[in-house]
Amino acid sequence: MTAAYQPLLTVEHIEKYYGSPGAVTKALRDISFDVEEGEFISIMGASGSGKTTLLNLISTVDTVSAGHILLNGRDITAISDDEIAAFRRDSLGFVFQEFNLLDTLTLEENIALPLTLQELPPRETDRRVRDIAARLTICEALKKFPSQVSGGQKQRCAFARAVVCRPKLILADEPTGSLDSGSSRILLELMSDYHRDPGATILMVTHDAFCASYAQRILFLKDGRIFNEIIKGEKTRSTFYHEILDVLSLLGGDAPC
Amino acid sequence: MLRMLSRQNARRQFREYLLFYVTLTCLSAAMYAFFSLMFSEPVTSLPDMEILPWMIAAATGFLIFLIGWIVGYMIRYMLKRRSREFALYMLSGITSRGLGALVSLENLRIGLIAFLSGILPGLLFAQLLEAVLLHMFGLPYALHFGLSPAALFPAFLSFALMLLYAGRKNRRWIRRATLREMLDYDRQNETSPVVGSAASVAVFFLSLLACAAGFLLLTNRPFGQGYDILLGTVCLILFVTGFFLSVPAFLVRRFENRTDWKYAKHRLIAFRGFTAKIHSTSIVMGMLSALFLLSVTFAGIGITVNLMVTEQFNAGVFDLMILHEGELSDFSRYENLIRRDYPLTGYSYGIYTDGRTDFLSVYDQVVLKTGRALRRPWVESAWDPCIRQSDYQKLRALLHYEPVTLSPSLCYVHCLPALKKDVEALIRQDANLHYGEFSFAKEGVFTEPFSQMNDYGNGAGYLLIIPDEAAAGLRVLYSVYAGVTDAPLQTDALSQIASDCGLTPLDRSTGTATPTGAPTAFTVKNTDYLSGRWMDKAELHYLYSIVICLFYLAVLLEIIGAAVLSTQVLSDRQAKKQQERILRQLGMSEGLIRRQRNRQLSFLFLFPLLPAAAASFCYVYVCAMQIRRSFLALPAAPDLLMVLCAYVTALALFSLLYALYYAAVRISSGR
Ligand SMILES: Nc1ncnc2c1ncn2[C@@H]1O[C@H](COP(=O)(O)OP(=O)(O)OP(=O)(O)O)[C@@H](O)[C@H]1O
Ligand SMILES: [Mg+2]
Repeated sequence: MTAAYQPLLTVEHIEKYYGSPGAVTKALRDISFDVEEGEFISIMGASGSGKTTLLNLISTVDTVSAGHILLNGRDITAISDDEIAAFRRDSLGFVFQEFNLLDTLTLEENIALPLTLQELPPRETDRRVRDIAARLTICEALKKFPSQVSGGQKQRCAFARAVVCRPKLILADEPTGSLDSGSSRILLELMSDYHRDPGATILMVTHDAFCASYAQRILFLKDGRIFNEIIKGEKTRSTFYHEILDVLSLLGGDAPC
Repeated sequence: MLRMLSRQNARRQFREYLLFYVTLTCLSAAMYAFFSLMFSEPVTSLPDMEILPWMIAAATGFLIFLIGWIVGYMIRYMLKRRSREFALYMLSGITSRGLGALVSLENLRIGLIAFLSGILPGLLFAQLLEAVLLHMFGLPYALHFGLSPAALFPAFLSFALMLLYAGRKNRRWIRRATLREMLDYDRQNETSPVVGSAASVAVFFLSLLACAAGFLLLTNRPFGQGYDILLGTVCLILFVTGFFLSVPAFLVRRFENRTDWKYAKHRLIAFRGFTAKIHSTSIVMGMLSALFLLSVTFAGIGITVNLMVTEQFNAGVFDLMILHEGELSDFSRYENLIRRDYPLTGYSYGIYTDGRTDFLSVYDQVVLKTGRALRRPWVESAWDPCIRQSDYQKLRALLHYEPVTLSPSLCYVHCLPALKKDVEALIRQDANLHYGEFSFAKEGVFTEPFSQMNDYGNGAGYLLIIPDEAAAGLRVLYSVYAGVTDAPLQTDALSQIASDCGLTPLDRSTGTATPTGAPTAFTVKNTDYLSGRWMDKAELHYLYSIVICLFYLAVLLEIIGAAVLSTQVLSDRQAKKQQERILRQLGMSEGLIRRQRNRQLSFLFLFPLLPAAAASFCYVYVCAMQIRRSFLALPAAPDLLMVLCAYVTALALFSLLYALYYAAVRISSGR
């Protein structure tokens, strides 16, 4: 191992507490892991196990209670507001669990928004928006406002907005939660494409074993700790899928608490 | 249970309703102050002020409905923001009727508190107004406190009427809205009130038409009796409203699909921030613009009138003038009497005439040129008035004017500045112009203030200065004692002097007929008349009534307009905060977010102001000219300058109050 080796993302002993000193919720307890550049990682775990919290910390949406997160060797828990803004704008694509679309913008404009923040020429912006909307089959809904479209359409729009800039790091919180299996597949294929072509690094939270099987590595969270970790390696997707199901049953989805 | 809910809500929503509450308090204060002014003892005893209460009553009636409508709009806006809460009440079994009652109860409660808390500021405000008014008339002002029940009752009545009127519409909205509408209300984007490009273009042209019609009505005045002013105002208000209904709708339609425009230069968020609220924003902007138009106009006219009156006042230089009809008289006994109380220096002289009218016709021409009708009722103003050179020199010395050398073989003229050019032209053209055997000096026209603005001063507008020997044998129109005191002799001092000396205060508004047919203001035989600059000022009381009424309206209208705008901005604050949170997460920098927020805010505050400012200038100009023509004697200063001055002052006063609202909104939306 050489001294120059450096993972893209290093999570070091992070903790996250919510609430007042009297009644704390420990959402994350002493989590550490590394993410190599170009990896596709899936994060699984029961509801309330801290998945969203973890993504929020990595995406600088929230701050850690303890520990450090290093991105390209820089501690993102201690950089300036301007740098955080630049990082979010230029390198990060975040798909929120509750979409977070802007109600006043049409779907089309929601997708275009990050591109306008990067001050891309309007023509190019429009072309890219149509392109990605066509791939996610939401073209008919582009002129509508979020309050006028279905949950699944909103979700695909949120996904499109996150990846339209071709970010280096994609954090997706249950990007297929409201989708039927066909749409899910389309979305996952698209994600795989981004993984291959610009070589994006992806962290995806999901409850669905089939979705998770697209990843190269899976982290299982339980009560704010990493409970298990499995790697796809050379396995086929279906072998991997069954392996995931095994871990999930071990994790205690059905087991009594 | 309802009662409890309502009480809880009123308390909980108090912060949200703070602006609403403050506005109601201001209104209550303004209403109380003006009613209390109407009924206050010093004001009711002012000479001929009966017209003021009626004017204020009419204005209040008009305002109750206007304000009621607007306050209703404010309430509705806030209610719609709480629609989710209402939907939850309804889901848990409260009927829409019950909900209506709940909301009414809430509003009445806030209204009552606001009314009560408006009384104290109202008391102070009333004192201020009274002081200003009395100052205008030169009467002494003494600070006094005490609730005036006579004012409290009508103030309460109009306040209650306004609130009831405002609440009526909202109860109807609550009763009609479906549950789904209520649940989804705050996520919905508005569509523009004018649907379709063609419709918005049509509305735009109609509004331009209304604008043109308004100006024609105002400038040409085809109907007379004020109807055209009223109609013209309505037209201008229609113009502003139509403009704001159609122009934003049209622009949005044009730019909505222009990706090259909206995706450039960070326009997207601001543009959509506007379109999402286009309905309420268009209406509010149109309404605001109309209110601001009225407000700046009223303030501008008020200030113009005040400037005109001041100008007229300053053209009078003698604190005291005693007049005696028909012959030279000795005024020394009055002088001695008055000197006991006031240090007085004065001089007596005569105003003569030989019955010629050369200069009178010049005067008439100038009057006709300014657009006024010829009005020369007094018999004393039917001929050119003259003064002897020696008397004139004495008066100049009395007033500390620069001494002039007058040739004893020439005649001179002292006139209002507005007449100077034409008088000089007459002297130049008519080389044969003579007075007796004396010709007129080429450079001999003086224009310092000389108490010539009114009849029965040193001539009405002009006075010929003739060599002493030319005056011998001329007819004396009246003799004058002109006096100057150290401190100005104000109205009350003058009336005291009149009663001490047995003088009759000169009343220029009544006259008796003389054998020649023209009337004279010397109505009583065997008496001397008292006049003076403050007394001349009191004669303009009706103009002051107008000023006060106009200010009343201007202040109220502005408070309402700014409050409506602020309500709208502040009640969208939650949604805006949420939006900014998302933008931050997408990597918009803090500076850009702040810039965008401020830009939107400035746009909202400035945009309605621009057409209003432009239209109100024309309006002030038209009205000021009209007032000048119908009420005042010859103008003494360039007109446009004075109107401009008044307009800028009005705009500055207006901006001051407006900036307060802007600052408040900016601070609280930045937090
Ligand atoms: N803002 C907050 N304040 C207090 N507690 C919070 C907050 N956000 C999350 N939590 C708590 O932290 C824990 C982890 O929450 P988190 O949202 O990360 O779960 P999750 O794994 O994403 O669940 P899900 O699959 O349901 O989305 C939960 O117990 C939750 O109640
Ligand atoms: Mg979650």
